[in-house]
Amino acid sequence: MRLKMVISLTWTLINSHYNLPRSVYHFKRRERLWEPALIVGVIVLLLITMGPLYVMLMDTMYGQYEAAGMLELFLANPFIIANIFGLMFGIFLMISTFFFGDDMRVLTPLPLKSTEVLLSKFFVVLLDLMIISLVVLLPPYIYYGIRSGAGIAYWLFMIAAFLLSQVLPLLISAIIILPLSRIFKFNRYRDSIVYFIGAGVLIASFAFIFFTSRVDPNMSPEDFARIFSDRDAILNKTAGVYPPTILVMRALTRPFVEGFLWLLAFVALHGAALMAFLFLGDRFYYSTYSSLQENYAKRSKLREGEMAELLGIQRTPFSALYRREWWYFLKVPAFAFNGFGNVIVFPILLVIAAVAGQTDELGRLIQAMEEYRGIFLPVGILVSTLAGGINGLATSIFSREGKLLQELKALPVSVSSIMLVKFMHVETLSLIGPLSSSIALGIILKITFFEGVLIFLIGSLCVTFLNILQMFVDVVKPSLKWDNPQKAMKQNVNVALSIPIVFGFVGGFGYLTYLLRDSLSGSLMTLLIAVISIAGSALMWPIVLKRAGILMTKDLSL
Amino acid sequence: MIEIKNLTKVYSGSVKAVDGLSLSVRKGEIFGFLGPNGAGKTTTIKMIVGLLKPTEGTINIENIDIVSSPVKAKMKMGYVADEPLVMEKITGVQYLNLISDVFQLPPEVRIDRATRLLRNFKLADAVKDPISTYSHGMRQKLSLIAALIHNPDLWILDEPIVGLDPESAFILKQMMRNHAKTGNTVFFSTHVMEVAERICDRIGIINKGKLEFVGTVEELRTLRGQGSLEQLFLEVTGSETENGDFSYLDAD
Repeated sequence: MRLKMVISLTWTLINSHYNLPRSVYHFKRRERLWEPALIVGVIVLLLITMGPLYVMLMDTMYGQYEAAGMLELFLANPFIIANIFGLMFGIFLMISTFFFGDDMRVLTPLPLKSTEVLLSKFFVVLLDLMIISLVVLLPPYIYYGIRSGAGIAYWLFMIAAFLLSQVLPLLISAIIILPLSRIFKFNRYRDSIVYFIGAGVLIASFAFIFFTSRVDPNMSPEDFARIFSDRDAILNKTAGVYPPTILVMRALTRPFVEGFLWLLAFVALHGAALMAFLFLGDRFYYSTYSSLQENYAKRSKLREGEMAELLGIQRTPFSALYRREWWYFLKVPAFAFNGFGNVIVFPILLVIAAVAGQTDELGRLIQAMEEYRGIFLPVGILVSTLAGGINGLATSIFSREGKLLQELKALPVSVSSIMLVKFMHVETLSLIGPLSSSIALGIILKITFFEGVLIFLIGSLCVTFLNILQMFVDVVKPSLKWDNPQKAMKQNVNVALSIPIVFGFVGGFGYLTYLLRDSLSGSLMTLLIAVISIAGSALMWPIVLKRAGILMTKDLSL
Repeated sequence: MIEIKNLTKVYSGSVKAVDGLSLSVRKGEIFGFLGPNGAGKTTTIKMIVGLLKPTEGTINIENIDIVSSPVKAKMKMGYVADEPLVMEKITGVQYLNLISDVFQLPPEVRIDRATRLLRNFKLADAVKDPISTYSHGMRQKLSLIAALIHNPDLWILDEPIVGLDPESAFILKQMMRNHAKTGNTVFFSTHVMEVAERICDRIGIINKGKLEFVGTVEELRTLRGQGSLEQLFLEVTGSETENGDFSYLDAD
């Protein structure tokens, strides 16, 4: 393996992955300056709105763990969460980067060793995943260091733990995926495989939440006492979910020499995993990839009269376009996962966490919230709006088309038909959010059936208004130049904009509801939210249509 | 059939891709649109089919302005892009159904035309498979079938021969002739001079955005002297390739 080659290749792949040359080109020409400004703006907005909450949460947790004498758990939990998320996303990112990317067509004919390609691609995925650690791991670790007055050893080991925090999950993902790629031929059955793995990851996550949040009902008071009396027992029980956590905890909390040895063990674990990754990569990656390049077209002959069956139904142009919208959505896993995931997962997690055995705690929580019963309805509506509003679909209605927007433009269909089709598609999916969250809230808050129906209906009105607002964002400036569908969703600036839109609406009305709870009844606030949503939708829809007309007639340099 | 007047396209405020192009394509003719790479052929075609908006000038398809009445104008034509633009994730037959539905083709018509076209282009056995499994040529054939399935009066084909196997290219040329014979129109761009010479009723040569010549090949010969269309084309476009020295490629 040639280190210089790996560095050069990694840098090239990073440039291509993040489209850096294009950004630098535009920046130098003082073009599209709004793009970096927007990204910085969203980050600043999130820091201002969520930052104080985050610090408050860390402060509370630190205080509680300190009082219970279990401060290690303050470090263990973010590490576990960051690693579990890393493992989940790592599997998808590894598959998409290693097997679905177009770059392999360029790389395979070059005189490169498999280990060089593997490592370079690995670093690209790692860079993507580091954002998880940046958000979940780094703030609590810095907070811990400051508040506990930690010494230099802590800071040094903490930096090492942070930098390595996504390496092991990614290596584990790769070690799982590489042999599987040989069996399943990822590229060939890419859509089915991604769905299969996605469903598996989803079930595993739900199971994980269910079992980790579940308290054994048969546990005796003596068992409880024993666990709480032994610091290591608690740490081992919690960190046992993901054993490498124990190594990091000890590295960060033990005296210098002992801590250093634990850190060395942590690094050695990475070394072993890296060796396994490179070995498996060498064995399976290139050979699988080259076998995927072989011609495998296996055509099936048409039966007599089959053409009449296949082409025998005539639909209206509108219905044909609606089907097209669904085809494209369902057949591109990145779109389907983001769309469904955002509207279903949040309420399901809510229900699972609520019913997973913590009945006493939930009871106490609801009891504590009883004094706010008067505003359950508007708050429920806002929760259901949040569940359906952030779907990433409305802010990517045209971005998801990519180059295919040309196909749409060439068809003899009116702009209003196209917009109506896209709107209906987004609505169909995003209304799952209010529906599932009204059911979830019904279970958790024990609200009446009528209140549940109101939460769904008015939540749907709010989601509709937010969808139209978000559609406007994408109609004005869709991101059409992409080679990987994730760039139309997760890596799309427009999709990032849905965060301030939805959080602004939900947070703003939530704050108003809380602030005015004594002077404005929950019902009146509900009415106010409904009226604003209806008026906003009626006002914005013609504007969105007009902008769509401009988009469909203007030049698209694709 | 196609009436283009003073068509101009300026990219990024300064690059003139098409410069004051005026052209009439009559009913019942095959019109070949020739020009070197970057001359403005595809830009012109994209403006004719409504993918690009002209900076200046007008385009009428059977007296329908493409800019003001795009849906009506598009109903009249079948377009094949220079790169097949089809949704890869769906099957060939799903794509043909989509196009047939949009053009409101009754089932019996689409079944009849699709069966014949698929047989002609030897794509019948792949039509149930996802388009992502097709080769470039197969995608090109599917684009062609989709463009022709609704029996448009006007065919607009951007480099239709590229990627086709010899048999399919032959079939397409025959189809183009038949289409024009029955009073319809074919407007196509090509780099293959032999094809242009053999099947076009008239040709147009565009260079650096300007239309340098419009007429029959014979008229071009009268104007520029005898020679193959390839030689005349190089002369019209001001190429100096004929005198080029390429020996450096094989030098030690």
